[in-house]
Amino acid sequence: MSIADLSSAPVYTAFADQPLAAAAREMRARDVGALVVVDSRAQRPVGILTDRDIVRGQVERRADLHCLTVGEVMTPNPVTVPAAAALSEAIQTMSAHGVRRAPVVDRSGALQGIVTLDDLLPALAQQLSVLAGIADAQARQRHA
Amino acid sequence: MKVGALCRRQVVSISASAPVSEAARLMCEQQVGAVVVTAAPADSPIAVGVLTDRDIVRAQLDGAADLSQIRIADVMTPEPLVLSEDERLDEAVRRMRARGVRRAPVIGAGGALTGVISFDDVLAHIGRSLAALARLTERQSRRDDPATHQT
Repeated sequence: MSIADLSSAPVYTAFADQPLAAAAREMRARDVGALVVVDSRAQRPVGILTDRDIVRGQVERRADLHCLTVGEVMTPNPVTVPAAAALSEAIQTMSAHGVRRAPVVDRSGALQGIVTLDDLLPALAQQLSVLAGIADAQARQRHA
Repeated sequence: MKVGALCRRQVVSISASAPVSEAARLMCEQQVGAVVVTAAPADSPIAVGVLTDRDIVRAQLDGAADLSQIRIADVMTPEPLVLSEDERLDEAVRRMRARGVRRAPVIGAGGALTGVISFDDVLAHIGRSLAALARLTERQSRRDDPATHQT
């Protein structure tokens, strides 16, 4: 199973020069905790914007969200995961970089989706559950 | 395993009467996405809510953008799920799931706030158990491998 198969939710995007309040409204309308910031030509991820970035950006810049742009508060240079990556590769990459979510990109580096810890955990749990099924069946056989 | 054995004792908390700007500063300083909101008495505070970074942003979109003009009590999630230290971990996780929350304040026998437990803490705990189980099978398969037997 590759990451392209298990990144469930659609990805929503923003541009760095967009007003921060507009991005915050988009996040609320879509009920998501993050937007991927892309460059307008190649659709390459250039940053991630989360609720936490919005709060931190306002505190650090001593300005409210109506006076800031997405680019001023986003976390730039996001760690990305190739769409063809396996589950274990995505987990290794995200764990090594300490990120809970990563844009998924195609071979040209263009944004294809987003994968989060919340996608990875159920996929891993499913593998574990299948493995537990083997153990469980054999334990029952022994006791039969 | 009981909740009290796994929860964190350093609770990032703030008074319900403080302005949201203070909570935002605290969340940045402590690098957390949520704080427990408390009410008096100061020496054994009671958890009355949870405030997340998302609550803050959404409050700004609905009303005053100036964080110092918003009261925490008006925008927090009130009446949070509260877990007790002596509650079993599996039961606690079921209750978190039923309420759809990723973190919960923890209280001691007297009802005062003594900790906080999160999805991340429980995942780490399960991960440690799983890693221990994997080490066990790895050691045994090495022992069973004829190549490692001395002849």
